[in-house]
This record gives sequence, C-alpha cells and structure tokens, in this order.
Amino acid sequence: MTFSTTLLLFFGGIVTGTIGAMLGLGGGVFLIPFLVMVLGLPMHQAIATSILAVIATSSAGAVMNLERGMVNIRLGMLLETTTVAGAMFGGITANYLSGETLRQIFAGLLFVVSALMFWKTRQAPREHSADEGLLRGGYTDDATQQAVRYGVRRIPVIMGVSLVAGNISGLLGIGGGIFKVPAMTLLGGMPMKAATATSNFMIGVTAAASAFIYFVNGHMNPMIAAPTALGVLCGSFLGIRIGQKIKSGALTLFFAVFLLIVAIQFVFR
Amino acid sequence: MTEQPTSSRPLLSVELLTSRALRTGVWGSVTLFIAGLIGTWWFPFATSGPRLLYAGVVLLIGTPFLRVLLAIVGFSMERDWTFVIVSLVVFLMLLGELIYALIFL
Repeated sequence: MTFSTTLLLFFGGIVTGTIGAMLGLGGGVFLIPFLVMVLGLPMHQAIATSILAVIATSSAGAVMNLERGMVNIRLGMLLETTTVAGAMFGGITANYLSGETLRQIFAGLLFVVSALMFWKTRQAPREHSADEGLLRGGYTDDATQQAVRYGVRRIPVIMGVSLVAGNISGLLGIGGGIFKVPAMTLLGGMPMKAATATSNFMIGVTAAASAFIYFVNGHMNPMIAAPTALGVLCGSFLGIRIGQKIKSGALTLFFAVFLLIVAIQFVFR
Repeated sequence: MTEQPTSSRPLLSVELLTSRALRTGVWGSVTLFIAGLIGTWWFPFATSGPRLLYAGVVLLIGTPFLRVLLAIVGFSMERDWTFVIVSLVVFLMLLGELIYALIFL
C-alpha cells in the first residue's frame, strides 16, 4: 500500500461520503463502486470497507440526532431485532458467495436504488399518523420550532422490511436506509425527519452485526478501511451542510442517472 | 399533527447513555486511525502504526455493541422492562454472531 493510495482512499471517502449525505443515502452505494471500479479492490474487501464507514457515519450522525431528540429509540430498538437477524444472515451468506456473484447482486441493487431515487423526486410530503400507540414519539422541528408528535402504524410490516434491509446491508455493505425510511414514512406514517434519524440510529448496529464476520474472515484491511472511514466521516459532515443549502430534487435525479450508468457498467464489466 | 412551540423535551437516560457511548467510540477510533496512519507513514519501522489502526477498527465495530449494552442499562433505569428485554434480545443476537464468527470462520 503506497502513501498515494492512502490519500486516494481518504479523498474518495470524502467525495462518496459527501454525495451520500447530501442525498440522505449513506456512503456505501457510491463508495463500493469507487473501491471496485477505480481502485480494483475485490468485492468482499470493498463491502467490508464500506461496512466500517457505515458504522462510523451512522454512529456520528446518531449522536447529533439523539441529542436533538429526533430518534424514536424504542422503535429503533424493536426494528433492530429483525434487521440484525437479516444482517447476520447476509454476512454469513456473503461468505459463501463469489466476488463475481456479489458484484452482479450489487448491480441489481444499484438499479433498484436508482429507481427508488427517481420515484422519490415525484413524491409529495404526506401527513403523518396520529399521536397514539406504544411507539409514539415526538421532537421539536428545528425549521419551524414546532413540537411534532406522531404515532407509528403497521409495525409488523416495517419489521419485515427491516429484515430485508438488514439482509441487504450484511450482504452488500450498504446502510439500508433507502428501504427503511420509505417503510417508516409511507407504511408507518412517521414524519420524514424522525424516520431518517431513527433509520440512521439503527444502521450502525445493523452494520456491526455483519462486520465481525468480514473482519474475522480477513476481508477488513485496517490500512484500507481506516483512511476510507475517516474520509467518509468528513464527507458526511460536509454533505449534511451542503444538503441543507441546496434543493435536492434535481440533484437526486442527477445521481439516479449516475447510479444507473454505474449499474450498467457493473453488469457488463 | 403539530402543536404550539414548546421547549425541547429533556433527554431520557437511555438517550444520554447511548449518545455518550457513540461519541466515545467514534472519537476514540478516529484518534486511533489518525495516530495509526501517522505512525505507519512517518515512522515506518515502528510496529505501533498498524496496531493502532487495528485497535481503531475493533473499537469502531465494538461501539454499536456498547451502545446496545448501555441501552439495556438506560431502559432499566427508566424501569421499561419490555424494552430491557428487546435490547437484551438484540445484544444476545450480536453476541451470537460474534461467537459464530470466532468459532466457525
């Protein structure tokens, strides 16, 4: 490993972390193609590196969200029972799949994420559920300074989606928020800010569930993972700041097209 | 459903404990990563650089474990036994995965 490769990993982490945070996606979806296509890393090693970066950004983001009272900690803990089970199964499965198979599955995931991003740009904001039930929550909205209170519906269905999201996270090294946040808002009726904060809070534990499997298998090289995680962490702070200042619709559309192109390259490479 | 502005609610024990665990884990591992990278590239003959990076990775992976463990303590302090059990289930699953990785891989 040369010094220039370490710098490339760090700056690659900053760029992918910034884009991921601006779009509210986490860095994995952009980081793995960078590690595989630009640096030529094997798929298992790229996934393991991404998982560590996901733990770092999720944990740092969760501190901020917890202190602002945005996280529905009980809902998060309940959903972790299924998401951790899914992630463990995903991590174990990845261990038995070849890098080529994982690359094809990841390409399929990029198509799905790209489609979800297109769909997201066409969604209008919705009313959230009434403040009732065991897992109801509340927070003070920074933008409006109003206290928002909500309930959560269809919890078993959201737990099912979390199982699938956890499985994809363990298998492919992404956070899984792209699946969990729409489930919490559209099915559960949660406000977007609370759903995003709760999903982000869960992602670190989900990623840790498969991280040790990759670590013990020798796929997580600290010389690669450390500068990348540092870069993604810096990028995520930068991305959150930029994301607050720019309109996200056109940006989401641009990166949806970008991911579609990356997905096609992954399939035919 | 919105209501008139109120002051932010006080943080619960479980929120305080988990946020402290996460903060300690993230900044601890960031410090180890920076020290490890400096050690690796500026003092290439010393063995401490790679070891610090390794320790940083272990600390970062261990941080969510610690966060779940402290959630059990936090929910116990709030006497919310349902969520003590839910957190315990999550912790035991993580522990099971760790044991599986160490024994079978």
